[in-house]
Amino acid sequence: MNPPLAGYRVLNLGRVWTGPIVGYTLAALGAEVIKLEHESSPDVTRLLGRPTIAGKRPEGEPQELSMFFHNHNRDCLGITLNLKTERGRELMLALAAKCNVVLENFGSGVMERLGLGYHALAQVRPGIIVAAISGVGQDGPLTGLRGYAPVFSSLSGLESLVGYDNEEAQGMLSFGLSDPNAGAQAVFAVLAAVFHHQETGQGQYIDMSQLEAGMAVLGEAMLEWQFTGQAPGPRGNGHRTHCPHGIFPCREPGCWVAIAVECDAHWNGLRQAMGDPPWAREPALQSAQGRGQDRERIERELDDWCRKFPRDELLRKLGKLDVPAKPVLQVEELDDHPQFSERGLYQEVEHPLMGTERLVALPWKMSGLAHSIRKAAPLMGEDNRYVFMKLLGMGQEEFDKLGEDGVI
Amino acid sequence: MLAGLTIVELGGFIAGPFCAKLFADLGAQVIKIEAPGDGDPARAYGPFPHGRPHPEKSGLFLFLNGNKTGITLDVEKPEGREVLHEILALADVLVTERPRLLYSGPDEAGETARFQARYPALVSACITPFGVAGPLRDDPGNSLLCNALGAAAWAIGDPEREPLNLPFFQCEYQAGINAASAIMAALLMRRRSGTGQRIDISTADVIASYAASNATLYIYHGLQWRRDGRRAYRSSGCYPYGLFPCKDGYVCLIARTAREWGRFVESIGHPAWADQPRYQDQVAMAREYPEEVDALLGSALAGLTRRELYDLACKYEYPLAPVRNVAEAMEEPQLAHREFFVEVEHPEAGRLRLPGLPYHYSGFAPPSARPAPRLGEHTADFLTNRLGVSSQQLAALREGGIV
Repeated sequence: MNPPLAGYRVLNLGRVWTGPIVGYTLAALGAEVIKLEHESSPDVTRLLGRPTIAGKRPEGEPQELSMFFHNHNRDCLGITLNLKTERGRELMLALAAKCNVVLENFGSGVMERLGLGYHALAQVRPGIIVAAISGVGQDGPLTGLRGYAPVFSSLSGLESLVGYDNEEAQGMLSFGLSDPNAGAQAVFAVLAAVFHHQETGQGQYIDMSQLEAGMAVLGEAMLEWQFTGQAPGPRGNGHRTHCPHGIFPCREPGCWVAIAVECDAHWNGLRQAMGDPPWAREPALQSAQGRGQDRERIERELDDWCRKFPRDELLRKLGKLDVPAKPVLQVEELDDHPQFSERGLYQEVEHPLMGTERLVALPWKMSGLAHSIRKAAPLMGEDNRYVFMKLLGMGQEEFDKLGEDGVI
Repeated sequence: MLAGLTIVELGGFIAGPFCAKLFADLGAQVIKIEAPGDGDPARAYGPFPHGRPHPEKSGLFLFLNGNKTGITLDVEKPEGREVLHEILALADVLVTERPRLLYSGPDEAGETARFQARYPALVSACITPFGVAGPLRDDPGNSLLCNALGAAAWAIGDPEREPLNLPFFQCEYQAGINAASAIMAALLMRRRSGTGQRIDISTADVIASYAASNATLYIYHGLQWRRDGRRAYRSSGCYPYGLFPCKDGYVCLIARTAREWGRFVESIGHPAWADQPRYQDQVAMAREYPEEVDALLGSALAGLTRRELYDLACKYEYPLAPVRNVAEAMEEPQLAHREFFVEVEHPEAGRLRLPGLPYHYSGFAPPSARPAPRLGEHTADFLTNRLGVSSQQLAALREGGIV
């Protein structure tokens, strides 16, 4: 089967994380995605410094060695174009005329000021889909607000919900949900626009707000506030209706298991696994409601019991009795866990400077689409020749002049 | 945008309904099938007005199911199964969290193949904790377990205490969003090939992919990817990157460049310590003595409110924002300006304010929002008008507890 976006061309001005997520996903679906940067304005995730990989520091320009950049720009072609020059902007329009989709996540209004706003692009390519992903949207009193993803998830209320039960918020700064959440929602928004365009020929300007993307997954919390007059705060690992439901320590220091009792059968299994201690036999604890009322004590007892066993033994004990439990994996362990090795969390690809490198695959399994990562992220300007000479039909002399004039 | 598409949602709790909601909000017809009696488990979940459980007033359910057509059907009974087949014959897409409702038993592979042969153009998406295929396919799972296995928990919380779950079912929402995009991709493929396909989305896979992607920012730069309280671990290599206490709560402060740090320092009155080289080296502050700098910042921020700091950040142009609770977040004028919220009147739960679309299309205005269906609200209408079921047949189905 042909991949869904075979024959589509996408110009990707997206930077850092959200924009590139959309770029590499469309590339995985068969589109030719052209990432646009310039030496004077590279994707900043190229600038993280020389990495250390398996104890070695690879040779080459550090800007070509960023694993974060490589992970998020695989399968894309790379060109350089200086949008601060008039010729650069002309060429960007010429290129947009040959694209179905343009992606950007600059600040609000930046494209407009460059003369590359939606109307300019739609003029050179009727029916074009332009997706603009910004922190707070293209208009409104907050536009222009600077920030990285956690700034927007702090404004959205998302960070305030992360923490231990009834304590002040911890936030999730290491995990960083805001960018992949906005990126994943933007992928859907763009694919829906493509679907609609195929039906109607209609183009689309998609104005996506990262702040709103964060709030779009908080409806339950919003209704809690409306229903109770109390804005929810952190709840730890607890569950609204089930108990015990949490993360408990194992014998090895720094090892944890998550246990989720979701019905009485699970509770009975857990009791049995623990050797049916007297405290757990109390009649009050045989219903979810009763357990919920005695949550602290149950968690304390469970904590003490779990600590006695190494992680694997604990998981075996619980698994045998069908108690839902899983280890808390460190990211370094993902590779070796059968769930992720068998289902293919990572894929390997050859990079000219790094050799074989390991990238994170799209987590979609589709019977009709075997998407493997086809190529590594582009070197800066790697595909200039193809794009400017072949796609835009430029002669050698004209192409050389672009380099001399600092346009590419 | 997606009017003309028919999505059938069957056997779900959060991920499936959220996935289907994304389609419903863009104008697709979503037929939500609930079991007669209790219905969707989200109806029992809450939050409830005044904390009193009521199947029509669960906040989780009301959030996830707006704009949908709701019918009841017992698909585990043969008569119900027959009706389901008639519904699937109308469908472009099936979203389910319980694939075994459709194909189970000793010859699962055979049943799956027969199902696909019967609906060659159907796109069917299964969203499960650990996948339809793979070593953990039969394991029970939920948000907490997917979050643990997918390594998210490892990076959230205090390093001295237990790791933390993502709040309010975020794992499921992310699985639902990824499934929705995979479905769109399959629908685009179907346009060319005429055939549908089967999609297998594992919530644990989705979370692990986010974790592993983010970790590349750390693990190749001498940093571990792990939890560090209110900071990103070692401030992700460049101080500051975290939540910091102030007079009336916390602010999120991130300064990735010397310029941003300089502006921040200037905005809080340029305290004397800031001139020492020790407090200008953001890499050393991040990796070697963050607590020391936290303490200095702590006393500088203690006298300032979130609002004052936010105003300073806007004036001096560096990334800082108040950590708001959900009620405060909803008051943001930016959201009112962009008409982000939708309001619906639910016959039993009353007036509800819900999040709207986070993407504005130039060429599509969302149809006016409808509240989540009451249990079986559209059963009679749908069966009569879409399936041509007669009133006698309908009565018999009701009698038998099938609908």
